[in-house]
Amino acid sequence: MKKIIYTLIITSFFLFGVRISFAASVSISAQEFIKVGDTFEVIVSVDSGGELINSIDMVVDYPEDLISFAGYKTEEGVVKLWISSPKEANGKISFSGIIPGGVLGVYDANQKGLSAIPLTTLLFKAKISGAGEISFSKSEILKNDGHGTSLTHSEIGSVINIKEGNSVQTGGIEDKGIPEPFLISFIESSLFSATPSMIIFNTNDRESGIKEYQIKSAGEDWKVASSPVPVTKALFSNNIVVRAIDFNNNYREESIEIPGLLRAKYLFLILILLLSSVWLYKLLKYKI
Amino acid sequence: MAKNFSKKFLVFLLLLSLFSYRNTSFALILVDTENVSISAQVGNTLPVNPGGGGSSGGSVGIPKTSVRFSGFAYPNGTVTLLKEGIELATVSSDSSGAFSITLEESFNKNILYSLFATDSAGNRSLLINYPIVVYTGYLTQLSGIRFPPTINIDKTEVKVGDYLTVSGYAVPNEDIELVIEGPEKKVFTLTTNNKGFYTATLPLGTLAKGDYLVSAKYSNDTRISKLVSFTIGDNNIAVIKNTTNIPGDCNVDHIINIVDFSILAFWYGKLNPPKCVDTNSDNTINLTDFSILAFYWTG
Repeated sequence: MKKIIYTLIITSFFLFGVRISFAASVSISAQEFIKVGDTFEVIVSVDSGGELINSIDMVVDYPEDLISFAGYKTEEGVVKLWISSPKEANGKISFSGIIPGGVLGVYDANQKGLSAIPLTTLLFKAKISGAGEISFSKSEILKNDGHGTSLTHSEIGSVINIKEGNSVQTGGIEDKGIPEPFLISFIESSLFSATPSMIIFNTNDRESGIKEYQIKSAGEDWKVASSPVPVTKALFSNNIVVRAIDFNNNYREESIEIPGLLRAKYLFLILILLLSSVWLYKLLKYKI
Repeated sequence: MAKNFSKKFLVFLLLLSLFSYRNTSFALILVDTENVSISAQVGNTLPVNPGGGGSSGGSVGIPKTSVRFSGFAYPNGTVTLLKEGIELATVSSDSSGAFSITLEESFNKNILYSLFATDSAGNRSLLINYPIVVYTGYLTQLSGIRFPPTINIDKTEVKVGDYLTVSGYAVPNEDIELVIEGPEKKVFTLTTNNKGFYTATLPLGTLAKGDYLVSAKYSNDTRISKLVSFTIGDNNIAVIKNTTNIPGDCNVDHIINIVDFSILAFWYGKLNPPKCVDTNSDNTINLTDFSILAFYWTG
């Protein structure tokens, strides 16, 4: 009898794949069945297990032969301040950001207890039929405890099945809108600071997210940049244009005037002093 | 007897494993959450938002969609509400610290609200966030909010064997804990007076030299106040008003916002960061530094 019970226990552990997981988890939610051509949403969320969290750093793996990355939505997510917004490279999407003040969960009167915290919604386009998994290759979650303590958690991926058929748009992406207006701020370095003067900027795009920023100074070409961008003060003021481009290549431009070392009012003052000196010299010379 | 127990235990394990399969996982850690409750009821048509910001008067017969936050801050202080990081309303708390803010909403949506409180001495609390699912036509109420106590200290360095005075505001006549963490840990308990004020001169006699953090919290709560740093060393050095005790506040404006975040972002992954940027003094700027900055965020 004992042997049978032991065998049953061991078999059940192996067969049913019982996983020891933690109270906290990070998960990927995607609809299981998708049609070729569909653009669909994948929600990345955290169940913090009752802990306040404020920072995340994630790398998501996806089957790049089946689907392509099409952007992200931040509207429903709690991460509004990106250290690095979702970007794709070699079949992986990486993103990191903070939630100032931390968050415990989502408060929903229709749910018992707190709901999982939506971090962001990734968008993918189904290319061909097949099955695959979207999973985490890295997930770091830090507590809002003033020490940046790591939250022990489990990772839950999601299986997707792409089938041939008439495409039905579920995510609904027809991104024609340009990114939202944004401000560029100039942070001037103090005299003995190791941090240089820089410009900072940040904006959102409701439909597909910001793919990249480009900047252009007078007489220079556009170049890819990310906030903050160090700037050096020239002798005269300099105009810098920042272009925010979304995943559908819609863009918005904003600009900032970086004050020069020689400001107009100082130049005017120098001119006045110079003219006064000349006039005084002539006056003295005439009197002598 | 022992054999019988062993059998029962094995059967229990078997059942547990089968149950775990159904749920794919089981929790190993039990944690407490704060005592905040949420409810929704069909909204009325009365004007809301005593803190300002909403429209007055109502469309007769059409229920209003609104969100109400209530709880306790500090006696005769203020509470400010932010929606998606934008300040919307500030209300006063009464002499018991009670406050209530009602905000009219328009959409069925998941919205990130933040609150901070200021005590009567002008000390600001940390930011508290509430992502809430708002339902059209309903008044969603979040009650039981309680801001952790505010905290101030009188010295940045305390001579070994000397005293540190800690003070601040909380809800009147409540038990609070002052927690000192560092090379050694010590917890002091006290009760606030009927005006919500507390002050304690803590004997640090047995604590070893080193860097410490002190924080305050309600005895029956998990949320903590700001962590304030001090050193136990050879001298007594009083707190100077114009200096900052906030990690990451390189421009010493006593505010942690996008400017400090950007300075940190500039040094992210770079070698030899300035001391003020490196919030945990490990000579590296990584996610931990961002987390510490996010903890002290004021906006």
